[in-house]
Amino acid sequence: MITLEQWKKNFLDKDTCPWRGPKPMEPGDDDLLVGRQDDRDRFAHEVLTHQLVILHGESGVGKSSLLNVGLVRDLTERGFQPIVCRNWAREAGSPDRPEDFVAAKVASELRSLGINVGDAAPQSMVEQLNANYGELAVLVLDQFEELIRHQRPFFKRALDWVVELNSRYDIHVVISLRSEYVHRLKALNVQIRPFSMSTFELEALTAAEHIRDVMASGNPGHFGSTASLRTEDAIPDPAALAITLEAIELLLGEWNTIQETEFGSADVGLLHLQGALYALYARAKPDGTAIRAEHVRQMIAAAVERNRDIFSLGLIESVSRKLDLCEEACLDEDPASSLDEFLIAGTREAVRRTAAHLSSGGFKLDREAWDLAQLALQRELRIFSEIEKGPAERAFRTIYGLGTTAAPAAAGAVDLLSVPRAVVAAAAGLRAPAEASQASPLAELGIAVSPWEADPQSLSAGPMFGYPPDEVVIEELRRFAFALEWLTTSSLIRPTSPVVDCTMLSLIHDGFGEALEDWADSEHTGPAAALVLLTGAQGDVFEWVREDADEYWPQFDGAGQDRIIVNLRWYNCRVHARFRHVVFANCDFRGTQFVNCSFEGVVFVNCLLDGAMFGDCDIIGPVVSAPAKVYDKEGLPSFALTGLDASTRAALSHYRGEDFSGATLYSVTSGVPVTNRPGTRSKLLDWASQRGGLTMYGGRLSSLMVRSGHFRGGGELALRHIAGSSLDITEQGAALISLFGSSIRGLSISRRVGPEEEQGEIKLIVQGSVLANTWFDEGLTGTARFDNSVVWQLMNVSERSSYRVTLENCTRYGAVNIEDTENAGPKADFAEHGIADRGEIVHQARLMAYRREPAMVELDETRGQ
Amino acid sequence: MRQFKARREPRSGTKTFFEHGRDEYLAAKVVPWVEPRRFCNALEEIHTPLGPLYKRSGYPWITLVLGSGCLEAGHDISGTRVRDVPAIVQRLLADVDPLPDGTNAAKLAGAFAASLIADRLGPSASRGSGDDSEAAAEPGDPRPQAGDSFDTTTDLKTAKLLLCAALLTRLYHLASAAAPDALSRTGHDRVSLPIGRAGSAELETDALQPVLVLLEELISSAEENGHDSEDAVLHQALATIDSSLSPRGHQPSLRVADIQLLTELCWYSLTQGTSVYPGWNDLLLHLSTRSSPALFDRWLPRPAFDDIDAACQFVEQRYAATTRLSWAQLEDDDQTDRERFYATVAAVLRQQAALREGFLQSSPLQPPIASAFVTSFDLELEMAMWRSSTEPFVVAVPMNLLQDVAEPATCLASVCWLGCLIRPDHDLTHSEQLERLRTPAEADWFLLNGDTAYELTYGNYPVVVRLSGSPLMRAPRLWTEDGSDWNDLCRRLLKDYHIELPSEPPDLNEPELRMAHVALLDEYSAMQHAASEFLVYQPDRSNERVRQGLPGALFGTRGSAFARFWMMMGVQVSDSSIRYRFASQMTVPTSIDGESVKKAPTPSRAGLVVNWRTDDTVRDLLGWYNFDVVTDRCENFQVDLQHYLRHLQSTTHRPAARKRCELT
Repeated sequence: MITLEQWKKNFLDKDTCPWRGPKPMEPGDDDLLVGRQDDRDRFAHEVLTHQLVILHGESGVGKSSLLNVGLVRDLTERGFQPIVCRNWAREAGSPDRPEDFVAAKVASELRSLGINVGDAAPQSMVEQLNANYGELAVLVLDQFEELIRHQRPFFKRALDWVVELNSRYDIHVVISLRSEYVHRLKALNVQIRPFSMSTFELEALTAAEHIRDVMASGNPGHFGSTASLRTEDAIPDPAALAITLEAIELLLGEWNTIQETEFGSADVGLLHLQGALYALYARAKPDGTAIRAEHVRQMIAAAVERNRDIFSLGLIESVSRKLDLCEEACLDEDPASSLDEFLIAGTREAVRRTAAHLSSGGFKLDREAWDLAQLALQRELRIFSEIEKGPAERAFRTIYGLGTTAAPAAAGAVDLLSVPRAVVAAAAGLRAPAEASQASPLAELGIAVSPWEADPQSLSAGPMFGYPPDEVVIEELRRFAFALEWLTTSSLIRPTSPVVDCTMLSLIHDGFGEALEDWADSEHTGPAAALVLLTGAQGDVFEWVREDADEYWPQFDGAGQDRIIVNLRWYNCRVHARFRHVVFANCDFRGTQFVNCSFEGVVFVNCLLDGAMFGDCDIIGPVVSAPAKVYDKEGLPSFALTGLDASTRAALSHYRGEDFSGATLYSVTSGVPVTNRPGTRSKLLDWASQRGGLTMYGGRLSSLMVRSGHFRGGGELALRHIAGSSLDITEQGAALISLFGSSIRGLSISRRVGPEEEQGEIKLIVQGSVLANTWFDEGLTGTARFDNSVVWQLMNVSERSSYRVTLENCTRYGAVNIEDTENAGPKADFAEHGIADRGEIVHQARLMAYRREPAMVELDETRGQ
Repeated sequence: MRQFKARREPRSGTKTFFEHGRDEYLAAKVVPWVEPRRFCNALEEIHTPLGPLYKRSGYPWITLVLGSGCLEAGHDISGTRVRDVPAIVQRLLADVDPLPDGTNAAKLAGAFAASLIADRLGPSASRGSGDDSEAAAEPGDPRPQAGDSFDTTTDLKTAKLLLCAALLTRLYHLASAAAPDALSRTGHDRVSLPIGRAGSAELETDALQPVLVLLEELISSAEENGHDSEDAVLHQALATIDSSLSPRGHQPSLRVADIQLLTELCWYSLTQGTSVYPGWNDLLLHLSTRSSPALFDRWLPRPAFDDIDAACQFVEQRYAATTRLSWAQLEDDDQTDRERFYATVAAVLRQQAALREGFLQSSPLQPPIASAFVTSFDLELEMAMWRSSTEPFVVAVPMNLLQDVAEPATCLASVCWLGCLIRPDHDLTHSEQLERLRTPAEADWFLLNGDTAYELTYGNYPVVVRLSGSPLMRAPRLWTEDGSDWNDLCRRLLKDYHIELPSEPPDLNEPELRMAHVALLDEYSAMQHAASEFLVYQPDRSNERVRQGLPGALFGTRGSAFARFWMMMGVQVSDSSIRYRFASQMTVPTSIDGESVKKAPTPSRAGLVVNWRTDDTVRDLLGWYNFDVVTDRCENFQVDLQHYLRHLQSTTHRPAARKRCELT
C-alpha cells in the first residue's frame, strides 16, 4: 500500500497544470510572479531604507508569494541575508519565555540556512547576527497574525523584542500579516525609533496587462504576454500552447468587465483568476488541447447558469479539481498498492464534512485540529459515545503525527496510511484489537470474532462490520487525518502549531471557504459516502433522487451485472432511491424504511430486515424462479458470493487483516459480515442472479412490512430461505409475492384502501415453507397457493370466491375459508395435551423466533439444543 | 547623572576652521607620515568611524554643493583686467583739481578703487593693483576676452563716484577721530560732524566742502538720468547723504551704512557692464535696483519683488548674455579654469552614476544617487554635463505652482519640485544645444516629491539640484500641446497637492494654473521652501508618507553602505537665505527621513566648506552640521576632485587613510 509520502508525490506528478492554481508560491516559482516587478522593487527599497517594514494586504493577495519568491531572492541578490520565519508552532521543548521562543525560532531558521549560531542564548544569537551581518540581516516574520491570534502573550512580547531589535541593533525586520491585523501593531508606532518604520500595502493585481501576463505565463516563453506581443519572436508551436490568444482575449474581456462593476474588483482577485485558469486547464485536458475560446465560453455559460462569474466558478472548480487529484493520487500503477475505495471515499466524505467547519459567512475560521476532528466526526463520536475523548484524541494525534506532551510523536515513525490499529491503540490507550481465535463461538462459521461480543451495540459497518468501536474509531480518525492531508496538499488549509499539543488549521484564503462549501454541497447528493461507512448509519435520511428522476446513481445500478454491496449497516434510516441489479449481502437494514424506492433485479442476501419497511416502492420485473428441489431443513442457509469487485475485496482484506482476494466470498448467515471461508457450512445454496423484482435470500426478519408496493412489468417480491416473524403486506394493490423455503410466523396481507379500481389481484405463492398464523384480510382478490408447505393456522377473511386459497401437498393445522382441493394434503391437528412431532416444531419455532443476534440461532442449531 | 550632549561637533580641541587654506586642512586631517598628503587620505580618515558595511563595500561619496564662488574659477571678474581700473580712474580724474589740503584727488580715487577691488575679489585679485596697474594696462598684453576691458565700463561718472566714496570715507574717519564715540552694537554707526565748533574749520574746508560739491554734481547728473532705475537708486543714496551732511537746522552727520551703500554702488557701477557672472552680492544689488521698493535701509540692499515672475525675469536678463558667452567659449580650444572645474565636477557626477548603475537597485551595496547641488543661477554645471556625454541627466528645479483664485489678479503659489530629464544632443548646432538645454521637451518634466518612486525610476541618472531655482530654463506648461486639456504633469501635481482639477479646459491667455520659476533671493522664500521639505502627508487613506520636498535619496544615503561627504564650494553661505536653505536641506534627512536616528556610526565630519571669505556666523551654523570650514579658492581643490575622480574610475578605488596613495 502506498505511503503518505508516495501519495503526495503522486499528487504532484498528476498536478501538471502550467498555472499554479489558487495557492501561494514557493521559492523557485519565480517565473510565476508576474506583474509584481514594481512591487518587488518598491518593497526591496522599503526594506533598504527602513529598519522595520510592515507588509500587509488582503488574504490571498500574494504576500507570502512576494516573500517566498520575490523578496528572498531580491534581498539575497542585493547582499542582504534574509531569514524568513513563519513557523510559529510551539513544540515540545520550545522555550517558555516569549522572547526566547521567538529568538529560538529565528535561530532555528538560521541553522537551516547553514548559519551557525551555536547553542548560545537567544540574545547572544542576536548579538552574533548583528555583529556578522548588521544591517544586512533581514528578519522576515511572516504570517504574524498567527502569533496575534493564537498566542497573545507571546505576541506582545514578540513586539517588545522587535522594538528592542529596532532600538539596539541594525538588523532589518519585516513583519508580514493580513491587513485586518495591522492595527494590532499600533504600539510599534510610538515605541520604535522615529522614521525607521514603513508600511507597505500589497494591493491586488488588477491591471489588464498584468492579468494578461498571468494568463500567458502558462505558455512557452509566456507567449501572449504584454511583452511578447511587442516582440516579433517566432510564434510557438500551437500544440505546445497551454492557452490560445483568443482564449486570453476572451478571458481578459471578462476580467475587465468584472473589474468595472462596483464590487467586482473587491470580490474577484488573482486567486480567482488562477483558479479559473486551473479549472479551464482541467476542462481542456480531456480534449488534449490548449485552453481555447470555446472552453472559456462553455465555462462562462456554466457560470451564468449558476449565477456566478467565470472567475468565481473557476475558484470553485479548481478546488474541486484539486480534491479530485487527491483522489486520483490514491491510485497506484500497481492496483494492489492503491488505497482502498473505502478509505478514498471515506476521506472524501471527511473532507466534505470538514469543509463546513472551516469558514463562516465568507471568512475563514481557525480550528484546533482535535476540535475540528470532533466537529467533522460528530456523528461517529456520538455513536461511539462510550469511547472516552482522551484516548480518541491521543489516537488522532498519533495518526496525524502530532506529538503530545505526554507522548511526543516520533518523527517519521508513523505513516498515516499504514500505521496499524494496534500501534495506534497502544499509543492512545484504546482497546487493542482482538486476536482471531478458534475459541470464537462463530469460528465454525468462518467468523473470528463474534459480532455481539466485539460490537454488542451493532455500530460497526462495512469492512469493519462486527469490529469493536475502538478499532472503528481509529479508522475513522485515519480518514479524517487523511482528509486534512488532502486539504493541506491541495493548499487549501495551512496547519500551524502555535503551542504544544495544539495544531491550528485554517483556510489559506477566505475565498476557499465558499468554494469548498460549494463543492461539499455538490458532493452531498450522492450515495457514495453511505456505502463506505465504517460506522453504521443511524437514523439518517438518504434522499438519493437525481434531477432526472428516472436516472440511477451509478452505485445503485449494476447495469446488467450484479453490483454487490456487503456489510452495510443502515439502522433506522429512511431511504429514497432507485436500485437496479444490485445485491445487498449481509447488510443490516433493521428499522430502515425504503420509501418510494424502485427495485429492479435487487437481491438481499442474509440481510437483517427486522422492523424494515418497504413503503410505496416500485417492484419492477419478474424474478427468476427458484430451483424447485432445493429445500433446506437444516437451518438458515449459507450462500456463496461471486462477482464482488476487487476494490471491496481489497478493502475487506485490509481492514479485516484476512485474505479476501479470492473470487468467492461467503454469506454464511445474517447478522455477521461476509466471510472469506464457508466454515463448517457444507450446504451452500445457489442463489439466482436477478434482473427483475425484489428478492430476499436468507436472513432474518421481524416485523417486515411491505406497504402499498407497486408491482410493475411483472414485478415480483420473492422471499427465499427467510426466517422470522411478522411479515405484513399491507395496503396492497395488485402484487405477486412468492415465499420459498422460508419459515415465517405471522403473515398478513391486507388490501389497499381506496377506490375499487386501485385494487388488484394479489397473487401469493408459497413453496416449501412453514407459515404460522397466516391472515388474509377482508376484501382481497386474487389467489394464494401453498405448495409442499406446512400451514399452522390460516384464516382467509376475504370472500373465498374472490380470494382463492389453495393448498397442495401441505400439512395444515387449522385453515379457514380455503379451497377444497383433492391434493391439499393431510389435515392435522394438535393434541390438547402434547405435540406429536415436537422436534420439527421446535426447529421451526427457533427459526421463527426473534433473536437479538440471529446467528445465535445457528449456534443453537449447531449445538443441537 | 546622565549627560545629554548637543550633537554639535567638534569636541573641544578639534580644529574645524582652516583660515590658511587647503594645505592647513590636509595637514590637520592626514597623519604626518603620509607624504604627499592627499584629500583622499583625509576623506578616509574622516570615514574611519563607519561600520563594517562601509568598510566592506562603502566609499567616500563626495556630494558637491556649488555656489557663485565657483564661477570665479578662471574666467570671471577676478580673472579679468579689473586690476586696470585704478589706473583708469586716475587717468579719468587727472584733470580734477587737488583737494584743499593738497591731496591728489585722482590718486585718492585710484587708491580707493584698488582697495575696493582687493576687498571684493580677495587677496589674489588685489595683487595686480597698485604700482603694477599701469604696467597691466599697457597695450600689447594678450587680447583680453570680451568683457575684460574696463575702459568702456569705467567712465568719468564712475570715477567721480569712486572719488565721492573715498572722500566720504575719509570724512567719516576724520570726524570719528575728532569725537571718538562708542561703537554701536548694531553696526549702524553715525558720526556727527562738529561743524561750527572750535577746531572744526579744517575738517569743514578740507573734507566736507569737496564732498558737498561733488555730491551736488553727482546728484544733478543722476537727476538728468532719472529714468534709469540704477540712477534713481544712486540719486536716492546720494541725496540721503547730502541731506545728512547739509545742516538744515540739525547737526550734520554721516552714517557708515550710507557710505557702505555708496561703496556698493561704486562696485556695481564698475562691474555691471561686464559680461561675467555677477557675484552673489552684486546680483542682489543689481536686482535691488530693479525692484521697488528695495530695502535700502542697510548697507547691502535686498531685492523685494512683489511680482512673482519679476525676479526670475531680471535674473534671466542678467545671466542670459553671460551664459551664451560662456557656452560659446566652451568651443574654444583653450580650456579655462572654470571650464576645467565644472568639467571635473561633471565627470565626478557621471562616474558616480556609472558606479551606481553597476549595482542592483535598493542594495545596501549600491552607492547613493549621484547628485550635485547648485545655489547660484548659472547653468555652468548643466552645460558641463551636457558636453560630457550624451547620456541623460536630471535637473531638479523648485517651482511655484500658481493657481488663480476667485479674486482677480490674485494667485496662490505652492512650492513644488519638478525634475527634468535632460537629453544631451551633440548633433545639434552649438547654439541649438544651449537652447535645448534651456528649453527641454515638455514630456521630460516630471513631478518630484519625497516618495520612493524617484529613486527607482530615475535613481541611476546623475542629478543637478537647483536649490535656488533655475530661471534660465523654460518652465513647463501644464496643458497639452494643443491646449485642449490639462496635461499629466498638471493632474499629478493637483493630486499630490489636493487641488481640484479645473472643470474648464485651460484658457491659454490666462491659464488658471501655471508653473513659475523660483528665484531664491530672500529668507522668506528660503523658509517657504524649507517648509515644503518638512511637510509630510498621507495621500488618500494610504499609509504611504509623502514629503513634498526633494526625494530623500538625493541628499541622503538611504540605508546604503555609503556616507555622503558634502563639499560646499564657493557657496554664498554668508547670505542668510542660502545658508538657511542649505541648512534646512541638511536637516531633512535627520528629522524626516530618520537617517540620523540610526545608531549607526557616522563620519567624523559631515563635509567641507570651501570659501575664500567666511564669517563667524557661518562657521557657527556649519559647526552644528559637523562641517570643516576652509578659507580658500575653490579651484585649489580641483586637483583633489580630479584625484577623487581617478579613484572612482579605478577598479581598486578605495583610498587609504594612513597610507600614501599610489594613485596619481
